[in-house]
Amino acid sequence: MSTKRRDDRIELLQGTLDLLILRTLRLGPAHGHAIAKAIERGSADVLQVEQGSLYPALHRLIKRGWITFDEGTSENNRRAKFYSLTAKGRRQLQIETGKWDALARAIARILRPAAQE
Amino acid sequence: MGGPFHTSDGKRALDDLDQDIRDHIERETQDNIEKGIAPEEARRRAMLAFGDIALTKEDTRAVWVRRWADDVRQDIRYGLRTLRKNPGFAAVVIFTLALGIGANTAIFSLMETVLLRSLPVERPQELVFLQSAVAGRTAGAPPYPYFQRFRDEASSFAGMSAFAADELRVEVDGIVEQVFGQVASGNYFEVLGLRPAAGRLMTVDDERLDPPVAVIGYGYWQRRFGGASDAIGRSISFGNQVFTIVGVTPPEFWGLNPGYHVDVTLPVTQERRMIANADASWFNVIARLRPGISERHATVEANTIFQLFKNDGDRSGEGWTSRVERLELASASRGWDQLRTRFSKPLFALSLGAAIFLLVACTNLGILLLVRGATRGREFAVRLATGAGWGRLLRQLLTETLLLFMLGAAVALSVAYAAIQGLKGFFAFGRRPIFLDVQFDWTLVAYAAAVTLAVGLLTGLWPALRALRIEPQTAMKENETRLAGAGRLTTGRFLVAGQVALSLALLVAAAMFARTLINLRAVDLGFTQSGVLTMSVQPQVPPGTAPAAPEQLWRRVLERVSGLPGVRAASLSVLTPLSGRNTGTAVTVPGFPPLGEIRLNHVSEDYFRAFGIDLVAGRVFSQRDTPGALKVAVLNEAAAQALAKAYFAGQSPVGRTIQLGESGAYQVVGVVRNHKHLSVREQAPPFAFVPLWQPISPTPRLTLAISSNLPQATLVRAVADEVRAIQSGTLVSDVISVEQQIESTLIAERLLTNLATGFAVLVLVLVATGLYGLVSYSVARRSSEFGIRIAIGAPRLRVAFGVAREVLPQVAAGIAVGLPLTLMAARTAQRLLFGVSAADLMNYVLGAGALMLTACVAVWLPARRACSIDPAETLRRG
Repeated sequence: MSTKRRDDRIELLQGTLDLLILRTLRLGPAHGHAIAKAIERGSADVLQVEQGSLYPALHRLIKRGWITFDEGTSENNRRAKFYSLTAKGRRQLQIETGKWDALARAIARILRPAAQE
Repeated sequence: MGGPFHTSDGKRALDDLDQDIRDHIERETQDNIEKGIAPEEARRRAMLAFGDIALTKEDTRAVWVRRWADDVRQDIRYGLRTLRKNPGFAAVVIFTLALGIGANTAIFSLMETVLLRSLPVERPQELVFLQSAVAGRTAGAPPYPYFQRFRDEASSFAGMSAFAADELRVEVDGIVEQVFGQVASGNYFEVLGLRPAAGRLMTVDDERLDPPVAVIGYGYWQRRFGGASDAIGRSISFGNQVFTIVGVTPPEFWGLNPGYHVDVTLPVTQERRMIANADASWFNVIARLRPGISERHATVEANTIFQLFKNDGDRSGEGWTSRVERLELASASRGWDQLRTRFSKPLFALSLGAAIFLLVACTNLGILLLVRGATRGREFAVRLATGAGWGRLLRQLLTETLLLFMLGAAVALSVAYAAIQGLKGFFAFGRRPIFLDVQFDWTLVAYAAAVTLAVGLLTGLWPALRALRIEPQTAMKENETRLAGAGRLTTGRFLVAGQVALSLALLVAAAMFARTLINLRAVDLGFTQSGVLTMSVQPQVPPGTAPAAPEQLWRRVLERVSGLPGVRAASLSVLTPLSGRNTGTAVTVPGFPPLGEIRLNHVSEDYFRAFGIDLVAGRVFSQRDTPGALKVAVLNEAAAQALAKAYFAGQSPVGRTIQLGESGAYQVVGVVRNHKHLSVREQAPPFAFVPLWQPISPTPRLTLAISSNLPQATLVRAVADEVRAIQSGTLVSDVISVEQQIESTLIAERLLTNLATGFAVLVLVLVATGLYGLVSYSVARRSSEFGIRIAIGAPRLRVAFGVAREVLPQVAAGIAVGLPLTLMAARTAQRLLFGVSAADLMNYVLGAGALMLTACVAVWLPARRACSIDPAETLRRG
């Protein structure tokens, strides 16, 4: 999934996109475009989400039963798929967040050993 | 579970995804326009932000595929869990399959090895054997001088080669040993198109015997020389010649006699005396047809040449050309057909048996899976009601069944492997064991897999469809109080009838073959069947020393062996009963037309005593029948009768003089009882015996027979010590007791009996498990009904009887259908039987009785459960 991108943006780590989608959907159902926008905005445009890569991820999450979707109409009366978190997905989000925090701490400790408490 | 991508309608899912992507880009474009970007540019940026659309689609599709694979994995996991929950059921199914498929695979491989496999040579379909025909039957190949002329004059053949296989006594590194070897023309390997595994193979130049060379078999190379490359160049002595080993035949080639492994090949020309003989047929001829020449054309040419032979030379009217009618070609693509002729009928019978057995196993599986499907009706109903797709459920059921079958097939392969080892051992028995080169390779695995898949679909798909043909509402509502039994398992009962009919065939076959073997073993062979040991004794004369007069040597051997404690009698003879060797001679009385050929044996005095062949009239040989004395002969009853009728006006030939062979007149001094010679089934042939010391022809190969009550090993050691004390370096080999000799002539019969009996026992087990499963299910279903009936006063016995009535009529119907079919099949096997008719009622009574008994036991157990139901319990559950 690599195409040219600007240098000051950070490419997503493998698997983190799933976490971001789950996090985004915690606030309520959203359609694909809205999820992409929310991630970009939420990271103050630092994270580069290639919008297309969202779709395989969404299908993967559906398959795992973490999210589900409903056909609906959006604000301007257009057809849209609204993705939402399942109970299982909600649990998974907690687990993944915990894992992420642990990972981030571990890496920070290695990169800046002096900054340790 | 039910997403859009689960449907097999992948195209719809793809359209759906397209739509989503279009929507997405539309929204992004809209956002950009709202930010004040020109529509063209807005769209371009939206596309850029989205990235590679094709890649996105591909990645998404990959997720679906993985999802399908995940489903399968889930099915398998679920299937395994279900199997673990019901280990009894799984065990019975796996056991049934393992036996059915295992037996089939083993017998298929045996068939393939013995009947179907082509020689591992170049273009085997071009190879033919050249044979003569006498009185409408095929006889040996032309004598060597004629063979040479055929080889030189016939143009239909690319090459023609003589070969004769026999046991050879050879010496390697000063050790004498007996090997199975052959002499062959120099072009033998060229005609077959073989390439050496090491060194070189024989060529036409080697026929000059300058220097004499030998080619050894791959097996012998490994066994005797450990596969060492310096084996080439070493010497093998045979007769009084030394041959140098020049090469090794390829590992897959064992010679042209399937079942026998040729260890050593020597040039045919070293048989100097035999190749000059224009009258003896002592070898076989293999030839390769020239490309494009038909067998028919070649036969015509061979016979044209044969007519030329007839016309020139040989005008005496007695030689080979006048005896032989014409020449024939026989396909040699699968080698010499000795083994095939002997075992083709038994093997076809066996594979038929194995096929029927597999069908019985299939019906059993069908019954078990049906019952299981029925008991799981509720489970399926629940799953259907909660939205599981019908297709998904079917797939899961099939996965479960195939899983079970794959486990069964895996076990079946080990069963087949064990069975093949057992079968090989069965053949590798006796004085000249048959080595079957059964290959346990991927073809076998493929065969087993194909059979498994066929059986799996046959027995698994249908019950699965049936199990799913349920209305969720009825099944959910269905309470166990419903008066069931009727309807649902009708098919199960049909299967029972079919299974019983098929089983009957196997049971009857087992009875027929077992009785055949009993009859064969009870046949009066005319000689003692126990306590006699035979062995080949070959004195080795050291080169350079004058051999002792053979007569003196042999007399000393007999004296010393007879003197051993525990030895009743010892004899030397050219032939022994049922050894498979045979010699004959013409018999006549001067002044009368010749009678034709009778069997001839050269024996020492105690031969008749050693084998317990009783004297009927006159006397047997004694010490006085020395080389110089009057030549005497003993006849058996069959020969005495034939001679009496032909020459002596019905009078006993004792005291008369007869002419045996060319050499001379023998006075008949006694008549002994008939005995079987080549097989237990044959009529005892007419026999003439002459003293070993008054030979008609040279007797180079003698068999020592010892009647004693000593253990075999003790006796052999004692005998070997005695003969080596007389002549060191004497080879004692081919030790075999007469019992073993008899058993080895009954290989086919024993194979049939053992396997048919095995099938019969297993079939009874299968019938029992099938019926037990079916009736148990029915009893469980109707337990409430039975409870109520007992509560309102029905006699318990009648309840049990009612259960039995559900299936026993089907068993009876199966027997009724099976009887005529079995009779029809049995008639085709009549030739395999002995002393028992295919129509013999007893076999059918035995078979049907065994089935009925088994059925009653299998039904009685669950029926007893039915009548021991506690009515109070039932009513409480109500």
